[in-house]
Amino acid sequence: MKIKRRDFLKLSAATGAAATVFKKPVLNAFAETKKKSVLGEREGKWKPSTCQGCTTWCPVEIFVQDGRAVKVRGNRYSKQNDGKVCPRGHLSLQQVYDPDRLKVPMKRTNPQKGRGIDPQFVPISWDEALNTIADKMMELRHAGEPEKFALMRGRYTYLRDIIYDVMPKVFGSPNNISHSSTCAEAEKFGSFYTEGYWAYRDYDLDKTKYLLVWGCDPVSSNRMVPASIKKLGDVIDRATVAVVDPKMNNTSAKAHEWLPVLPGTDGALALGIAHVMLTEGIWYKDFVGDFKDGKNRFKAAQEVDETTFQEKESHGVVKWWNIAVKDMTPQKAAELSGVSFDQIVRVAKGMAKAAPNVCVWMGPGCAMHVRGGYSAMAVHALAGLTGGTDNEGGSLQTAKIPVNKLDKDLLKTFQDDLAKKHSKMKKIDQRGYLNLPAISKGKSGGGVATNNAANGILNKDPYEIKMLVGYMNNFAFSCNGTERWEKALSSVPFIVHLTTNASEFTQFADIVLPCVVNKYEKYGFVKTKANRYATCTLLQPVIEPVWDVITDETEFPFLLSEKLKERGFPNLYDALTTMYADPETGRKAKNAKEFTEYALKYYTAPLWDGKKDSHGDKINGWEDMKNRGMWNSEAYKYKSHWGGKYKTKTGKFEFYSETLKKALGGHAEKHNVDIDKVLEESNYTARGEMAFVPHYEPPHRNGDMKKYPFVFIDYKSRLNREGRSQNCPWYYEFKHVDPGDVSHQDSLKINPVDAQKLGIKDGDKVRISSIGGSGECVAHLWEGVRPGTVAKAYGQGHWAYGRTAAADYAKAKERGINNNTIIPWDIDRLSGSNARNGGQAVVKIEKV
Amino acid sequence: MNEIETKLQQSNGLRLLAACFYEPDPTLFEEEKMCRNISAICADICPQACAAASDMYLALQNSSLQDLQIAHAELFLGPFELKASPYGSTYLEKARRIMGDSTMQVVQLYRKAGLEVDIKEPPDHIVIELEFLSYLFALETEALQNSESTQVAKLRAEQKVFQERYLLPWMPEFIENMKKGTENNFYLALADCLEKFLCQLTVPDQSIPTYECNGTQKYAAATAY
Repeated sequence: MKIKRRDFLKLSAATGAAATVFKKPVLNAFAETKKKSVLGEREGKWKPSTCQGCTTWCPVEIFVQDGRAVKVRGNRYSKQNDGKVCPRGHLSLQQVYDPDRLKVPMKRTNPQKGRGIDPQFVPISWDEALNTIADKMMELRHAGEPEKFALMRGRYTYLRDIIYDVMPKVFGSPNNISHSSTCAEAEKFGSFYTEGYWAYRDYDLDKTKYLLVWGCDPVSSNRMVPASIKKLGDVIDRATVAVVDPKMNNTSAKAHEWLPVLPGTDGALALGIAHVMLTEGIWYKDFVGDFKDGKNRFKAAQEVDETTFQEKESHGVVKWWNIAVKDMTPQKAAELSGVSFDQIVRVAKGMAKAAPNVCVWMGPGCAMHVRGGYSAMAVHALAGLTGGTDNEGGSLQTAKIPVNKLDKDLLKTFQDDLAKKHSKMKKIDQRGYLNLPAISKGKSGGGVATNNAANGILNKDPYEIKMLVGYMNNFAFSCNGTERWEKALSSVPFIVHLTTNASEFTQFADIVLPCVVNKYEKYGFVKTKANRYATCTLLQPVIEPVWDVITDETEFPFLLSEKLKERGFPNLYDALTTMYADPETGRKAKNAKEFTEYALKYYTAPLWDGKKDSHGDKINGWEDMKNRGMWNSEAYKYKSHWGGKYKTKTGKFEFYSETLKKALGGHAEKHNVDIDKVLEESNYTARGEMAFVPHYEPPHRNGDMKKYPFVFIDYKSRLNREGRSQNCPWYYEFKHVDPGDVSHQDSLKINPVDAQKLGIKDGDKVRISSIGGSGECVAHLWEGVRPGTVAKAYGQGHWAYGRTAAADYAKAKERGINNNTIIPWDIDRLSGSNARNGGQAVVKIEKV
Repeated sequence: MNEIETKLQQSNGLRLLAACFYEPDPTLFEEEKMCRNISAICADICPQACAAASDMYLALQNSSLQDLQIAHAELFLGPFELKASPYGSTYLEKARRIMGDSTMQVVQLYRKAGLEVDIKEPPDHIVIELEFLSYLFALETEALQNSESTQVAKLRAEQKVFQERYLLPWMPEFIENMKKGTENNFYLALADCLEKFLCQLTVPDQSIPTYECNGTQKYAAATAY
């Protein structure tokens, strides 16, 4: 903020003569106004936008008084949240009005990079910032190496296409690296290689008779939080609720059954349940089929002749039995998983009795393991065995949201030869390498391996990254193995970070650009679903931003494209203005703000332009769309994929995954090896036919359990707005809303039996250490974790992000300890996911 | 120095002090003789701030632009620490946030005076509040010159509310944060100068506008907030 009027510094002089006309002083921070001062309660208006504090992506309304956001509620039109929000919705007010937000573009003046080294940022103009960035990009193009530019994305809206696809591809880089695999790609792996659906499922809580929640806590996190909060009470009254989680969570605290599985043994437990259903003959026969003569041949440890069974909607149940299930008796499953035999049998029988209205809610806790792909499949296979997949009261896919897509063919016309060639090069996360299949949607290297980008950068393999632009991401905090990211980022010569708060990632940036807070200040749209309704909901600027910020996904690429055009590279500017002309008038955008709105109109037009039936809410034009802020689909039709319409290789629900067999085969062939070699390189134990069925993989623990005797459990706080709410004072004040947590401290939950052995009392300061890192937190004695395990919520442990979040930035001292420092670097190589669950981290605890 | 001149110098002083909290621009400061003017004003109406004002001048001569920028950013911009938050609400209200109720209340005072904020900062930023007080003092100077006693009384009532409720309560902590948060001599001297300048300001002893002063003014003792 500069002085804009030189005369502001001039002195007013007294004339001494009363009759002289007084000259008012020159104003700098003010302008004259005729607006009146208003006493008493001010008028306000509810304005629609979208909350992205978690991945529910709630349509919301924000009450704005006198230009200030003061209150949040669910969007009145939403069929998902019925006008309600969870605690995160309110917490965000402290984010948008955080005094520590980034206020102006800044540049580093200290060339040395590293944790604990102050970058000594100073403010610069937008012009200087964008010119510098454009110059650096042009250097790469002139050197014929545009691939050395990388774009890393964190929290996004679906306007991401512009910064994430169009910008790097037209420029000539293959490196658009998403954050997606930090979150749940292994979970999608489970549903894709059984029912052909690479996405999060919807859950029909209104109709379910048995809710099996596995590895998540729907009332506090995951993907339909307000709906779950509202409905769980009714579900508990009407149905049976069982929760599989190694520590007690909000849902399990109220559930009928809590199955405290040993971390990483989910596959064994799921197979044990399947074993009971099959041997008892209580699987859902209208979905899975039956023995031709009606006589159940599933007997423990005995192979079954496939020809004796006639399947209906599924494929390969007998093969699955023979390969992986027959030996996983409930006794063995109990031994491996720590869940009792009786409970396994009771849950299996309960689910079977409620079939097909069984909702298997598979969360990241059973999937995001080093060997988590198959346990995700094993859990999801239970949705098949009970007929709850795609069925009333079960787990569902989604109704269509008919928005426009990125026009990839048009995009190609703006790529020059350099861009065409170099944007096809290998990516920096090494996806598709022999030891990193990342077989998203059946394609070798089809998925992202976010955490492995740190390795690619460090090893300069496949090449060096010279320039990195990150937006709304903080991989040096949000990816397990933070030390590796700190090293990797220190090694990149030029980094630009677009963010709301200076974070751990910003520590390594050369230029940092202040951005809008998405819920309050940003245009965008997202697609989401819950309660059978698919939703498209807009993010809209409901307030004027307090500081001079830009919209990362649209304004940044547009402004940059102008600078690149000035430097003789007009392709990006031409692409953006042509691809995102106003769909109503055909006008090309003249400035970044106009461009943003045109882009949003382009994507959402089919919902409001009235040209075709959207099969959902009728919306009358763009203004109506903005006023409502959202669109609901018609209710999802049950069994949409029954009758051979699953998008698997066989069209059926696959217990024996021909889809996975093809995918692994494709990857093996690409590298000229066999599938066993792929699995070996990927740190999986399965060989032969086992590779194609949901099965139990022994958990991979990083560290010697003699030295690190406790298995570490990571989970999400219901106050986490991803990793971004830790600078909000309310976060600490209300932290006790997480079971086992205590306000104003980073609590390590430890079973009283273990605590006694270690001489640790409640409230003692303790040091937790793994092979990945070490830090201090506070012990809380709690029976909600079993002996031998300890649990801590992800979120605290920032050493940057603001005065509230960090203990002492100057000394790089964290407030608490980041779970991702304790959890060593590792990934699930089949899906590309970060591996943060399944007890891959083992730790020791010492009283400080 | 008569009352009118004192008031005018107070207005000038506050405006120049406000200027010091913007991004440092040593060339502009030098061209406009900013520090020397502050010194002169202090010599007239606030001798105890003279030493600080001359320290500011010397520090400005001896600091590089980059050093000043780094120090200014660390204190008032961040991005990592924001050592001396320049926003009133972060001191006056319980939750550490901008755009609090107190912020909206100062907006009402600005509007009452016919002003609205014209820079991209929350309305209770230090530069805005100092400029506003300077403005009220300037208006009072005008009213005094024109012998408009009713207007003088009204302005003094407004000054009182603004100073007592919104500006002065957060100054001690803010100034302390500045002193703790930097080693840069310009900003250390500025903190000192601001502190002393505010100490000698008087808060009009009028709880409500009386509109009947009959030429007699009562001043409270120098308010050490």
